[in-house]
Amino acid sequence: MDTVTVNIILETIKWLFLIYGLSVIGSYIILGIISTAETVEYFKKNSFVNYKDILSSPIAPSISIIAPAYNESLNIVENVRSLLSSHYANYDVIIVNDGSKDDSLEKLIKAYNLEKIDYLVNDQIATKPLRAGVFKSKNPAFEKLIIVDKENGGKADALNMGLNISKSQYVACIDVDCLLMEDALQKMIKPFLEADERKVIATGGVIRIANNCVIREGRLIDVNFPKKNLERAQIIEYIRSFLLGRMAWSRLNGLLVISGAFGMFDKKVAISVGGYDTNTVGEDMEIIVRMRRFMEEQHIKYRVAYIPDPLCWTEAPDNYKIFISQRNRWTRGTIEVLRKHRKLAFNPNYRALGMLSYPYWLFFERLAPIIETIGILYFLMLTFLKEVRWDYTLAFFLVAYLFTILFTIVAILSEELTYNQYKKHGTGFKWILISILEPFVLHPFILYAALRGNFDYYFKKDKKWGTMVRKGLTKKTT
Amino acid sequence: MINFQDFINYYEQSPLIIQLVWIGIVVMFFLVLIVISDLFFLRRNIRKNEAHIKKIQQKFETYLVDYLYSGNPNDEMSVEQQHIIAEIHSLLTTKLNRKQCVISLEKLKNEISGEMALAIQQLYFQLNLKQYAIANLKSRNWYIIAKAIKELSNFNVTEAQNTIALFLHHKKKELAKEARLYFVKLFNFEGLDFLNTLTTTLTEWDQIQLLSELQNFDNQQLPDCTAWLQSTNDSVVLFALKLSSIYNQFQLKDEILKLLYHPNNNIRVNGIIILSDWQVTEAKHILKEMYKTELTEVQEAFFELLENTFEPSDIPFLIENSNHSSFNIQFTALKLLRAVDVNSFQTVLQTAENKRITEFLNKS
Repeated sequence: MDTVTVNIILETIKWLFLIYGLSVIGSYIILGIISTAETVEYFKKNSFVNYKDILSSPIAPSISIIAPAYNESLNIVENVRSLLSSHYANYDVIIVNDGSKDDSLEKLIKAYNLEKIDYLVNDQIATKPLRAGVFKSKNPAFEKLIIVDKENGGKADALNMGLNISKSQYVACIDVDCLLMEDALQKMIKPFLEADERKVIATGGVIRIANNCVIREGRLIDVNFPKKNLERAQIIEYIRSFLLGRMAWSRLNGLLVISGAFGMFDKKVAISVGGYDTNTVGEDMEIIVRMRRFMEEQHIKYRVAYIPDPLCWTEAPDNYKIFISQRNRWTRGTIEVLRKHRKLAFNPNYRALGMLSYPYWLFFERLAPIIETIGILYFLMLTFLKEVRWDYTLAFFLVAYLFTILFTIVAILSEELTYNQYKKHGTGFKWILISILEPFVLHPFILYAALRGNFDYYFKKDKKWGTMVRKGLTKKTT
Repeated sequence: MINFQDFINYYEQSPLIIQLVWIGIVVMFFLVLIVISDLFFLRRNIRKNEAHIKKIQQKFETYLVDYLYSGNPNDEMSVEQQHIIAEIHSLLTTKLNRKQCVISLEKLKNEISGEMALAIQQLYFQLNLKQYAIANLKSRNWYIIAKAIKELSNFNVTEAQNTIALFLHHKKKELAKEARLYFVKLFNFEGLDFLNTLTTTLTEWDQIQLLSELQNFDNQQLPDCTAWLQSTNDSVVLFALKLSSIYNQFQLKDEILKLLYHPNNNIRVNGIIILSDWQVTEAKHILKEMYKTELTEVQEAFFELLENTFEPSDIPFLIENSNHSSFNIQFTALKLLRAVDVNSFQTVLQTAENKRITEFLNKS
């Protein structure tokens, strides 16, 4: 290959990277603007809504909270108590004990005075069979509680059992150790009830990080900014993603994922598509894509809504090992879903789903770590060939870095203007510091985890969920 | 050491794209400084505002409670009350304070009842706060108009009704909703007259809010809603069905029976549910005739009605549906069969496809 050809190739690659970088920046700016408009609109519409109306309404629809549990003995009794303290009237709580090897079931039986009942499960979705059976409480105070003990089948399988058991119109799927705010159900059900021409099939809520917060008896007492940089960086990552990303996708009706930690679904549609896929680690994203695909193929007008209110608090990884494991799984989940539904790609029959959402996720989520890695390798190669202009390198690095900080602080400003959860003195400085540090304390590990995820997906097919070691949200006050 | 002139020379000699990048860096650097300052000022202002709001709310709440407890037995305004009104007036010079005063009044009004609630309402008028709300009805911003309507409805300000009536069918749904709630809150069931001409969808959320207002009234005498059951607007029909059910309008049974032929599945299902609650056996005969051509969800609703109205003559029908594709129908059919005729049930056990259901029923 002659020098001219090599130069043309190198020049082309440079321009491709530049175009890709500008596209990423441009997409963030556009999504940020749309998100801001949508959040402002949401605030205006909901600032004078009286959610208490639905609490006492005879026509409030029924909701089942489905929470799969596996070896959650440490905090399961408290977590269930938290779920039972919702202010919504017409709901029940279905805890699916997914073949736990610890004494979760025994603790629940004792704490809630449970007895086994004869219950015929409608096997609309195939699941692993029951183990100990279905339990309800003898105490009328816990009449909303249903415990299902089954053979281990994984989170998706447990959720499917919950779908089979539920007799409600809507289901809220939640991680059992998540802290749900008392008004979460009425806020999440509202989009479904406000629907007119477009049926709402699912609603997602913002997940907030509870690390270092004070939680007592299943209630959030005090919100604190975490101490560790890893946890702080995840907070701003979540805020950026939820407030400046997902709100925009909701507005464009292009939302491809609702957090597995907390989401609400139209049960009939969820069952029509066959429930959660038990063969993927990205079951939360996969079911949304499948439900959307189903509605598109049926030519039924629909939308997937998003609530920016902090309704659900969860524990984020506080060490890099668990963080990398989590992000590895997210990467594998994304790859699995995009591969499974590749028919959507650039397919005008699927409208925004195929022409906007799928391409975005493909190029800016799925391929981003690959392109970034190629970019790093390309840069190293140029360094080796002494082809690098270090002043240009500095310039591009600075513009990317400053844009990251700018975008992050804009996200923080959105949070301060809307929910202002972190009120304590000194948090402002901590926000700025972590905005500056985040590209160094978080992003390299996200990249590494994504690469590992790609490797594990293609070469370690038997790898599944991994272990999230939880400390539990229940903490003593200091 | 690089000085500024060196940098200018370097910049001028750089390719266009690098020049643009450096411009971008400078712009973004200053933007970062601006947003960082914004963040600090914002947090400071939020803290200041919250402290001010807390202080002013406490003041208002103290004044209001003092006002309520310093009245004269003969209902005339006492000197102390006049003094309190003057004090509150002096605080209402800013928009924020007026807003907090209204919030305090609304909060207290919701917590008390009877004469004290009326006294709070009177105070709202005496403070002349309604003029601001009425003025806001002319705003170009829908959000401001909606908040004004809400305030006026909370304090039963009837003089604004003609202006607010113009918003009953506004294209902005939230605004139309507030206008409707205003009329229902002030005029009870008469406030539902907008249903006669409604062409847009009355969502379930709207219906919940309307019902919530209606249930606050002592007079629970629902007017005749036959016209609404015959509406061409399906959402109005659905709302009328809910009203019929909640207010036990059994005299509308015949009208609801006609709805069993309605083209909207949801209306048919809701009609069946009400007739099932009322145990209307005529519905059973109508639905049996239509059963085979109905959608599964309507068939399932029919079986719920059958649970309240079944009789031995239904045995062949139950046997026919013991192997229905719907689990719920299968289960109900077999359960009812067992209840009405054990022998037939035992016979069907041999041919029933879903052994799980039959084993479960046999055991329990």
